Amino acid sequence: MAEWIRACGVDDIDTEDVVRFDHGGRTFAIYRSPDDKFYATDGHCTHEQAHLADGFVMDSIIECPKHNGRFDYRTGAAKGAPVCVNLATYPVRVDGDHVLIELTV
Amino acid sequence: MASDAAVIIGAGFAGVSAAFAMREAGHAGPITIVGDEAHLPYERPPLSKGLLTGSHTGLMPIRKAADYAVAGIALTTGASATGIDRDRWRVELSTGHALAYDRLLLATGAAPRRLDLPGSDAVTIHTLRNAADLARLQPAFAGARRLAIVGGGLIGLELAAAARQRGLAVTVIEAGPRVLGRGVPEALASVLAETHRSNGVTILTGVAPASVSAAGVALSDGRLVEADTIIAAIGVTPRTALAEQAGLAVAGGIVTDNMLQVAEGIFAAGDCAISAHPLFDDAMVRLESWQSAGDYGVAAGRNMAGQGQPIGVVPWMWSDQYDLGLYTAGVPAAGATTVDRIEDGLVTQFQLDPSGRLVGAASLGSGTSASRGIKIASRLIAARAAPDPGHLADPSRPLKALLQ
Ligand SMILES: Cc1cc2nc3c(=O)[nH]c(=O)nc-3n(C[C@H](O)[C@H](O)[C@H](O)COP(=O)(O)OP(=O)(O)OC[C@H]3O[C@@H](n4cnc5c(N)ncnc54)[C@H](O)[C@@H]3O)c2cc1C
Ligand code: FES
Repeated sequence: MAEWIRACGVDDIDTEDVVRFDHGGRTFAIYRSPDDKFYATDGHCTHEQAHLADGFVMDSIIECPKHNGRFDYRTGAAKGAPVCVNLATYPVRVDGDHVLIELTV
Repeated sequence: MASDAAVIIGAGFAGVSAAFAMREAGHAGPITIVGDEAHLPYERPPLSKGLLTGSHTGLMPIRKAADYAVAGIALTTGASATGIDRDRWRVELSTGHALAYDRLLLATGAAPRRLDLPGSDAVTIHTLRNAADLARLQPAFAGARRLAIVGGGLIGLELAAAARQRGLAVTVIEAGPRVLGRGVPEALASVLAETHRSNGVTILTGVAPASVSAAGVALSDGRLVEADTIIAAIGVTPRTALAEQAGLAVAGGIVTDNMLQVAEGIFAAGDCAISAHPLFDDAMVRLESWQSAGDYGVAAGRNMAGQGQPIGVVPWMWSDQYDLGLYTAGVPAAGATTVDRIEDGLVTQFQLDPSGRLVGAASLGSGTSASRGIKIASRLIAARAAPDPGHLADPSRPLKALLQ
């Protein structure tokens, strides 16, 4: 069953930045893009499991903290070596001051 | 030049990255990688980390076997290049075969320095560079109780951390006045040394090993470090013999220009090469890091495909010890001014050259927390920026603002 879960507050993320969100034994990365939209992906890099919340956001790209692998956080697409497996993404909506992500529980 | 064949000597990260980059850059001729190890090319960093602690098993391939076939890259493993005949444009192999080349890449990497002391013929002194070394070290680790590590560099300290995680008693013997004397600022090295000590590692500095025996390592000051297993982690030397035999320039590495070219048709990249770096006034730089081996490999592959671009990448390195991650970028200049930035659980040092330009940075923090500041520093270095030292030092002012 899908459920909307509060991940963080709108003001908890700077524009062009990322934060970590843990829920139900899983971990996610929540992004705020330069054009002020919110996105969510799995928290761990598909290469060697570094947490992307320590990564660096530029435009629509998250660069992994460990080996600098890159993903488009809007689609989860891996952008080349060393990452080759895409990231899972999750629907996000903003409700007032809250950023919600849709998870299947 | 009918076939336009490329030969790559060395199946490490630099060689493999070059082969794929060359293909992606449009090279249509044959590409052959020759590697003297028997394995599908694999990543080295896990050798001193998860593969020793046991948190990982199995070598981690750089690319899947199928990727080589898809890209049309021939992989000849278990064979070494024994000579380069530059007049006939051929590489001679240990198998007795020869390969014709129009473009050649030397990506032979580096080999660990051996510890040559009285007694070293009679006992095993391990080194760790490749899968064969790991296969010897793993069973020794499993049976070991007391480990002596000669050398307090990054590999020595990663080994110490892995050994403590396995419950071994560990002594690190470092001849210099402190660990990580090469390339890691003292402010960060002292935090790492303290972490090792609090994890039970004995670190001895300013003392050299004098001889080895079944009892352990005897020191120059007469003390004995009792050990049943000894590892030398005293640095590496670039593998340049092949280049020297072929009459190529070698000076602390195979000498390349800032497009990674050595001579007509011949390129070099990775740990074996010393290259002029355009971001640092073409200073000659030799790097020993995973990221740089990959970045330089890619740059060499593109230039072998005809792109002719000077390297633009900023050197980047990381190391994991316990739950700490060390990240560095750039090339610290001699006589540089340093600026320290101390944040919650994060120590960062920036190096500015005499004109105020940022040339290097290093940061240490838990997990991967130190990475972001170094990514920002790396971009500032690439932009030849001279950031305000007051801003760098002030933890209340975000580093990212310096990029605007
Ligand atoms: C244990 C360990 C841990 C490391 N950890 C880190 C880390 O945490 N972070 C980091 O940034 N870097 C790390 N490094 C460094 C990094 O792995 C190297 O910088 C990188 O592997 C260099 O790549 P390379 O392709 O230039 O050379 P190599 O990986 O050494 O590959 C060269 C290959 O060429 C082969 N070869 C040599 N001569 C010939 C010949 N004549 N014919 C055929 N084959 C030949 C060699 O056997 C080897 O397989 C580590 C290295 C080691 C050994
Ligand atoms: S863990 Fe993300 S690129 Fe390696």
